[in-house]
Amino acid sequence: MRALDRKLLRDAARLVGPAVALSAILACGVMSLVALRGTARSLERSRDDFYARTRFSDLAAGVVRAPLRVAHEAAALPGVAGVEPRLSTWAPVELEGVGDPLRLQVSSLPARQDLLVLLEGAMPGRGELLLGEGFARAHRLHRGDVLHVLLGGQRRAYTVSGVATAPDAVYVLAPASPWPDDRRAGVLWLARDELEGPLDLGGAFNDLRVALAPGASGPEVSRQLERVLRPYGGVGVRPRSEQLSPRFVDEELRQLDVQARFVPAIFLAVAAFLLRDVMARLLGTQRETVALLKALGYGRAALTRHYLLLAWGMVLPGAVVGTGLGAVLVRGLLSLYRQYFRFDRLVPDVSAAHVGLAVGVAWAAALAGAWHAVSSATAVPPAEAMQPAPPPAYGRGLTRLPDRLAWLTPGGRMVMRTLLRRPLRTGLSVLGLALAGALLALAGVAWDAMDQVIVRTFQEAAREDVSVTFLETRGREALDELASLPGAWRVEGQRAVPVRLRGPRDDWSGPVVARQAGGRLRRVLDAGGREAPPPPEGGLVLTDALAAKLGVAVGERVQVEREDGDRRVQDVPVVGLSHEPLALGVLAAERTARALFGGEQYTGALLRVDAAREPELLAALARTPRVAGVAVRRAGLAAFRRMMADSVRVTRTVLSLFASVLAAGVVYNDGRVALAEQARELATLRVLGFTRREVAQLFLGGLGARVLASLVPGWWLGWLFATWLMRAIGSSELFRLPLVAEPRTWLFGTAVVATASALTALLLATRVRRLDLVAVLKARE
Amino acid sequence: MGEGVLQARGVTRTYRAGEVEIRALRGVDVAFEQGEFAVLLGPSGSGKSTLLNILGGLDSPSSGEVRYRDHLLSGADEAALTRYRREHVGFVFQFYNLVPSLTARENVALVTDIAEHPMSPDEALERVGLSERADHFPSQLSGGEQQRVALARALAKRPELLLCDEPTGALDVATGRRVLEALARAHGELGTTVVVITHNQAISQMADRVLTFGDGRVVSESRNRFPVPPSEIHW
Repeated sequence: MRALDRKLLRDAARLVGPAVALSAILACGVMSLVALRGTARSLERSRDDFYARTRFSDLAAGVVRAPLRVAHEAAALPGVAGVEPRLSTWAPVELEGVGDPLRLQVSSLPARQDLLVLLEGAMPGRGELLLGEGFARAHRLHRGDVLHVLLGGQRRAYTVSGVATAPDAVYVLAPASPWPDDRRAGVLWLARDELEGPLDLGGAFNDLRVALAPGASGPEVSRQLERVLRPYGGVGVRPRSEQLSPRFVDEELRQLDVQARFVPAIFLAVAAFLLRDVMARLLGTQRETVALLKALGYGRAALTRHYLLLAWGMVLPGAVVGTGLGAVLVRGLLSLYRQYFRFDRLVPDVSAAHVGLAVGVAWAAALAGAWHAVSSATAVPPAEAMQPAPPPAYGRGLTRLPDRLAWLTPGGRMVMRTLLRRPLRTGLSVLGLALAGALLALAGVAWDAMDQVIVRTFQEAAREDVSVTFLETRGREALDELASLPGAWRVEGQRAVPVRLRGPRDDWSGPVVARQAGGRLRRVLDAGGREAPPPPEGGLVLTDALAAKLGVAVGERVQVEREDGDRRVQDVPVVGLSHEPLALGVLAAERTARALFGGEQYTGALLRVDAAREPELLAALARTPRVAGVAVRRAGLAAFRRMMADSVRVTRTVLSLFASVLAAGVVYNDGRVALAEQARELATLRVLGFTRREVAQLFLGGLGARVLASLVPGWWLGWLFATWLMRAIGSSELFRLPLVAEPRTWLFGTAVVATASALTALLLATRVRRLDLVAVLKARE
Repeated sequence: MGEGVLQARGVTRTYRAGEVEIRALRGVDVAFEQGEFAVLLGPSGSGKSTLLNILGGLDSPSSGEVRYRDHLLSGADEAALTRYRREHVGFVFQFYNLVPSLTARENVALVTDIAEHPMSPDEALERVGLSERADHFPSQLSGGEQQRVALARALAKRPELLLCDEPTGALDVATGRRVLEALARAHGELGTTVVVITHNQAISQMADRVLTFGDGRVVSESRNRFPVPPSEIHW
């Protein structure tokens, strides 16, 4: 081994402390990069692979009733590669020991078996059904268990033949429920002949799945298809991007992608800055060694290589550990996703490219961090470098600031001037600590946003106990039926009409919702969360997000094409805007809806229920055949909280850990640098009669000042990041998260950063206590 | 040897450096009287700095007894030694040891803030002739000026004991002399007991008593009947 390499190893051994701090921060960056990118990639690949294996259809179209020959007609359209006509409905299901109303989407088994994936058991025969995975797992149902399904007014017992998943059932949402709830909703498949009779669809279908030929234009085929299906009560053709299940999956992947860019960048940037600091300090102490080596004939290139190798050596453990932990975390995250995304398998897929990217980024951070320190140290001529470094200069610029603060003790002045003499370095370490605080604020803001969504949706806007969705549009008598149920105090009808809205900027398809005039069970909220007046007559009230998407304002008109029934197209004015966390939606006054779509009709109802008789009412509803969905507000709230709590808890734990590592790493590095630079001063104070405690206080004061200075920037950065993040992922077509932060969010972030900093500082304070007075005073720096 | 304010009896100090045992002091008996100006001479490694550190409460003897008035320093704990330094001892070092981030006045104030009956920082600087430089930082002062600030800092608490380790070691003759003049004046005016370590034989002309060290012991001791003022010393 060459002497210079031997020196490299010994230097590295002396830098174990800073290297650990640095590696920990870097490991967080690499881990988050590998984990988030790896998870996103694994999900993406699993999705693509699953969709491809199961030939996920490109278009889905609903009709009221079309004879099978229409499917052949559709198959013959140009651009269509294949069609799959199905029978499909939502049906009440009874399960022994479960009192809640259960609704499952019942579909006929596809003709081709490879359109779904059997996870256990066998395909269903007569009297058997195939159960979707989420519902099966939630109730621990397996082959041989029995369910009762209400179809066409008849209650029939079916034996579970197996458990399966399908590409359109990856993420299952019940009607009237904005969140998935595997306990109350799911999917099941029956043989076609089991369904034909009860649904009165013999030799017909009500759901058509279409695969496009390579290169075919989706919108063009959709238009053709709509034309073919219109006579049969076509309710619109949805491309994959407008179907709920794939849309949720894509949305989640998009969020993951944003996070994968965001979080690692913070850590890698801080690691680069720390490394620069460590290298600058090391080279400060090796000034004479550098000069000596140059005097002995080592060139600048050799020295630069020498110190860069050292820097790279310091980042290597962080990169390795981070990659390993990242790969482990991918598995953890996937098992979390597995509970919500019912792909048949989620294969962890950490590519060499991601590891390469992570290590490459780490090395680049090391290079960027060390380059400046190394090049400035090796640039000094040997004769100059062999002289001791000049004493640090004070009395200029910012260091004069504390002069006027008469109340400041000399110790306080020392602390302030030392910080102010290197404003850039101090600023960067303050920034590092602020980033730690910001990370936590970010997690907290996401939590607070969820909380506000819950409060607004389930407590302020929704006042009903139960909401019911009918299987088909019904008249006044449906409300009377509900009102006669046991314990029903109040019944308010509502109507949802599927339409396509066209604005100057974009179009959107979804339901126009009209609630019974004088209804009190749903309130419209304005942007401040206060109750807004009910929708005025004569037009539509859009959520502000939808108005922005379509590019229309109040007073302008929007084109409304009805997607069921007569497909009539009308120009309707926008008469108001609302603000709801469920981002896109349209409201109309009841009379307006009647004028636009005709008749007194209802597609569902809101119920206020006597709490004592609620179970009785739900049991009665569970047996009501013409109901597609029953959502219990309380249960919806619980499902939402469960779903969010899982992900928020994981996110918050991981980010707290990351932030602690970041804060501890920055404080440790600052402390080591300060100790190296101020050892002589601190020892002098001890000689002058300052106690250990007083000297430790001064030292800790310098570190504490940085932490203190980082609080407000940390909060500000947290808010800024949250704004970006919410802009990037918080407002999708499904959700719109408000930007709110409760005081507890700031307190939590501050507490974590302060605790991590304090523990690290105390660790360093023991070094101050052990200062060797005599040795420090004898040495000339 | 008479009873003094500060006395050492049978003091030894042994360091371990790896496998080697270094015996820096091999039994020193010495006493300093109130108001005395003593100089310790001797080659490097003769043990004089070790003794000074022990007398100043920066280090403890391996054996023997060190006493300041009625305080036993040998065997005292860290807190007691800190209190001793804080209340009774002023130090001046070869390399000044000023805090670079504090002005001359603030460096002195470091001590006056924690001492019991200090003079004001301005008075201390006045005594060493640096009133006009009070607002300058160490990096803006010459070596001699920095050493005089260190002296002012040591004197400001009105110490009973002033311990100086090579106070002129890093200075040229003219600036060294100005430091010694300030030292002599303070000694005269405050009645402080002064112990100075030096390689510089000439400085011993200022002293009341000169102790010469060799190989960890006091090898000779002499008294000056007529100490010479610094202005008349040449080296």
